[in-house]
Amino acid sequence: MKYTFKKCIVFIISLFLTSFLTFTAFEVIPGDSALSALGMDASKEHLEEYRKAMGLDKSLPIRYINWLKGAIKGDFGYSSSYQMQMKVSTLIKNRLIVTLWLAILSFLIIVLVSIPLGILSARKKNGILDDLITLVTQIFMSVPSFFLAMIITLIFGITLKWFRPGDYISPEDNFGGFLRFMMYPAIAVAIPKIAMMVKFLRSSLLREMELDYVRTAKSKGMTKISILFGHILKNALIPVITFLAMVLADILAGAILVEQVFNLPGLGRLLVTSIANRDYAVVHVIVLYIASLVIIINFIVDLIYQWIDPRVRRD
Amino acid sequence: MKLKVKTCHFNYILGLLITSLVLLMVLIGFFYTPYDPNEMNVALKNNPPTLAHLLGTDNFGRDILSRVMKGAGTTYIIAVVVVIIGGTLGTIVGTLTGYFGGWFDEVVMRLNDVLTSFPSILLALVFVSVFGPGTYNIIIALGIIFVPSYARVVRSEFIVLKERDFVKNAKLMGAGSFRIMFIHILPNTRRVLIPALLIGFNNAVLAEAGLSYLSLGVQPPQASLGRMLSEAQSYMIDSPWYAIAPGLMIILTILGFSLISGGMENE
Repeated sequence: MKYTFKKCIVFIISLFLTSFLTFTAFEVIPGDSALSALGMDASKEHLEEYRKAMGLDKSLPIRYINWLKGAIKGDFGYSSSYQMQMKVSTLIKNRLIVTLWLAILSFLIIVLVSIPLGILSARKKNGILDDLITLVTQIFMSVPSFFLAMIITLIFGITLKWFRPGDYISPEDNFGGFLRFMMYPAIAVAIPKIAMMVKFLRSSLLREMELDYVRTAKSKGMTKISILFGHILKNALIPVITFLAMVLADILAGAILVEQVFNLPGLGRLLVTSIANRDYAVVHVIVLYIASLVIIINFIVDLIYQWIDPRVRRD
Repeated sequence: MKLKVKTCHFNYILGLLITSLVLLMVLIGFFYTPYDPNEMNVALKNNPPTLAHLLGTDNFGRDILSRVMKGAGTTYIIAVVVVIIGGTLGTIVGTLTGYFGGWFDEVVMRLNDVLTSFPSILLALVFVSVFGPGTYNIIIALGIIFVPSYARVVRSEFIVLKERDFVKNAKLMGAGSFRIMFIHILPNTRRVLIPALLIGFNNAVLAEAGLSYLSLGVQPPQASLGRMLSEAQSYMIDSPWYAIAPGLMIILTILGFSLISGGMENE
């Protein structure tokens, strides 16, 4: 209980700190947002009026509190980009769905593929095969996901014509088509992470196999398979959960690049175009979104951790 | 058991081979490239690999092999500077926190935990959006972002090493903290620090490639591996070899260094 409480406090403080730090980072940017919103030849009175209306004449902490009040209600202000004078929250909502689906699909692929592969690779611990597994995982870990995305486009899109590159299908129009299209970017994000997971799971399993309780189980006459699934796997998967949290954060980051390759209208692409357009209102919110997602994932992992491994609570 | 040691060596040697090949190409590229990497030639637009142009030509008729050699050089220089900045600052932070401990250590390490839980490319994007794109900006951004990872590695070594007898002896002999930290303990962290530097180099190469791919890093006409991938993206249908050459260079670089560092950790 005390552990959960402590984690909750840390979680709230981290969210709060992140929001304050990102707010400050985007407030100290050189440049006058009133000037950029109204144009270079706006009159002095107009500028003053705009500043007052937007609360820009107040001090930083007050502006932060005002911003926070809006943010809690889901109101993040307006995009300052002149082509799209629209609310940041509406702009982001549709994009978020695409990125979340990409993350969910690649996460599922990673878990479904890497756990069986990890177990298989750990069962064969001898010379040359051992070496080969290390080499293969190392090769896949070396491929940047966005280059993999380009290769997948080249092979499956351009050569085999299984999908039309750049021809995104929106989930409202055709959900099945959307999922089928999203499989390709999801695989591109997943493959390097699968290699990382296999390597990690394998060493975790091998470490566990050398412990005393495994020998006891063997001497009791249990079969190899039942030791593996009944005892070893449960313990070996505990460190994997923390690792998966890291992978999830990495997926979100990898998505930024892979969305660019597949021309997906996700958060990452919006982030990159907003940086290019100097649309700080949008950049700020996207960074905050991704950062909060990372914090939330870590929080959930901490809770899961203490639930499956009671030893953690005692520390 | 004997077999295991042997097989470890195989990957280690393979890593050394790949790395020396790649490094040789880059080193030669600093002094000599088959063609001028920025020389355009309309007659040679998007040509497939031939004997004259081993890796083909790009959309401006520039020789891709020359551009890969030069571009990898740019990427490597960026990565080396990033590792130097991150490694030096990280080592200093790790040394001080690991040796002295206390509240200073608590605060710095909590901050470290928060920073490392965020994907580095996201932090780099925040930095670039605040200070603007460009080669120097991404070097500074990545250098700072890499500090926590080194601080953590060095700190954990220091916590173990500072209890060892040779440190206690040095203290009895009246050596100052500064001398103990940097002359007695620091050289002993090399076993973990060197693989960490190699992995850091890999991460810097990946980060440069990613940022330049998003047009936020190295600016045209200068070539870098990420920049070339970004340019090649539009010509995937007509000249796929354009993307494959810099991509393979990234893969070989990273593979070589990670095999070497894996071999070192197993020693």
